[in-house]
Amino acid sequence: MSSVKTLSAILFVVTRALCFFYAALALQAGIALATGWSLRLDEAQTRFYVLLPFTDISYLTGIYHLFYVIFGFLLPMALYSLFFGLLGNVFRAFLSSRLFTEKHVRDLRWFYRGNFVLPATVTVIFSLYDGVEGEILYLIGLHAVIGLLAFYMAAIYQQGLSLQQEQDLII
Amino acid sequence: MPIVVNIDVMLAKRKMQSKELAERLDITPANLSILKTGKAKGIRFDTLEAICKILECQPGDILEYVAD
Repeated sequence: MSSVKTLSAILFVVTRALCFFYAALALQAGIALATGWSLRLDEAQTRFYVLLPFTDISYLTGIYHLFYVIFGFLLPMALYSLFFGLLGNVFRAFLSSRLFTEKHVRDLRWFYRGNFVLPATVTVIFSLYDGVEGEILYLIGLHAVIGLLAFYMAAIYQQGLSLQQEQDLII
Repeated sequence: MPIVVNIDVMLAKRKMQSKELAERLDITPANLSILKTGKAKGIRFDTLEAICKILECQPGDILEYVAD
């Protein structure tokens, strides 16, 4: 179990770091697009470039169109922050003294619901604006598979929780 | 629950408090309360052995079957 805990600790730290990273990206890009700070547009004003703060180095780019900015740029970044945050909660469960708890079942439920619903929903909304590339469909499929695994994990956890509660009542 | 745990009767006979019994059994007072109030799903043999040793009684003095 110690190897599981060690790996879980590493994965928790990594996913939390990615969560904050994507959140920071989304926040900085959102501020840049809303205020024009650290933002550059091309001559035709069809493409934007988000610059690293206080520099002239661009590190994010996209089409300068409101629908794309929200549904094709900012929202995916924010949702990946959410994805890594929820994934971190799943790994954090293995660091607790008790694995089968109501909270850990709930964390798994939020994780699989997010994976089932959010990628497909955002993609469907984005498809109203522009075509969806094949790679995006693979990504939706991947998130659905991840969600399915988490769904079965939640069912196992719920069974474990019931057994544990019964065991706790054997004095 | 058809199996009734009559610990209170033995505690009164031995003039012992629940808190002391819980400490000597090395279980929490809450768990002892679960046992006494019939909410327990079962009792381990080593717990039963410890109760009988501390209260100087037989399992039959502690456990009683009452049909529903």
